[in-house]
Amino acid sequence: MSGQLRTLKNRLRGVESTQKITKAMEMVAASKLKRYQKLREQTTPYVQSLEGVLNRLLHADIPPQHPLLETREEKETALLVITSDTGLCGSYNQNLIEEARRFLRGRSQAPVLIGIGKNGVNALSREKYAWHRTFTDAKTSQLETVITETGLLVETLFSEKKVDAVYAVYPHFTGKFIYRAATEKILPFQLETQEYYPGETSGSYILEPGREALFARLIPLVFAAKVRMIFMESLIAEHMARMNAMYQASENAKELIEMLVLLRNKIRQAAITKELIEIVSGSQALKN
Amino acid sequence: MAASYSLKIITPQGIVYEGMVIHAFLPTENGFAGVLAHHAPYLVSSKGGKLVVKESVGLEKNFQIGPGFFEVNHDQAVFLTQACQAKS
Repeated sequence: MSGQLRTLKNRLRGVESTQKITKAMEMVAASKLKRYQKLREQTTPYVQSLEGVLNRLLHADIPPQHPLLETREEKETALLVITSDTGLCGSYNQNLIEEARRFLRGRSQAPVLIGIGKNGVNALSREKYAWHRTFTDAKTSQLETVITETGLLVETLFSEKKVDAVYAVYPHFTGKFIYRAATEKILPFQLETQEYYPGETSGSYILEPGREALFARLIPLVFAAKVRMIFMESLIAEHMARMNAMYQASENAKELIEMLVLLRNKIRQAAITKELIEIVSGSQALKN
Repeated sequence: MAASYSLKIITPQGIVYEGMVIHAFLPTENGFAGVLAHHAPYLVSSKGGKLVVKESVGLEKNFQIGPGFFEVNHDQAVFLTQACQAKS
């Protein structure tokens, strides 16, 4: 009986320390989430002004021409798979990998794969997919470099006509806190035609050094901003997923602890009762 | 008192500068341009370099900026660039 009690106590201690770890991880994820959300907020004014400039240029009758906007027949494609480096974030990576697999199955010709994040890279490597380029274990300080390099790499692949379209698998936000794994075509770049708002059109602007030249410079910036937003969204989604997963784990641990404490108390009480019975029946036997 | 207009320098990392200025001297694609208040709507690309902002007489601020765009419209000016660093 006392052996059972001891193993139960050990188990309880183990679960308690697990709970402490998951709690800590939840808090770490929460603080990281805040940091990335702030980063995204900082990027928003830039993206908005960039779109504003683009809109003013777009309001011309001349259709825009740029290598990144060119639509070609899709023979060769490239796929950007963005997952997280670390695990313990619930089904976050599984969903993304599943989405990537769906895309790969739908293609007769294997696309040029570019992987970001160890989880996705490892999972697809096991299925004998070859990577063109991977970025794994990137530190937070290297984030900027990874974003720029990925953007440039994709841009070069496309403009050198090595690929005819570029897709990205990433968690796309549909609401403030809702996201789902999605595949999006990022090149040829889709210009979002926004509603025409009255006021200053490009006609009244002095443009230097001319519409075409401005356009040629603007498109890569808009594309870089787009890639940046994709990265931001995936980082935010990752930490959101991890926070949720760790919250669930802590809750589960709490439930388990409650159950184990109850069981421990029952066993202890049973042992006491048994000893009492033994004493009482022993003294009774002596009296008789 | 010279007329002033609002200028923002925005990078992907956030808003680097925001304030009322009298004059901004910026490196454009082909040379340099000075922008005063009440400028006509103007959109110009910049090759990057030194941006001098005059907030008031005798108070100037220097920035080292990367390639980007400058836009002014109704005394609202925005400089969009990938990188910007304040210099003394």
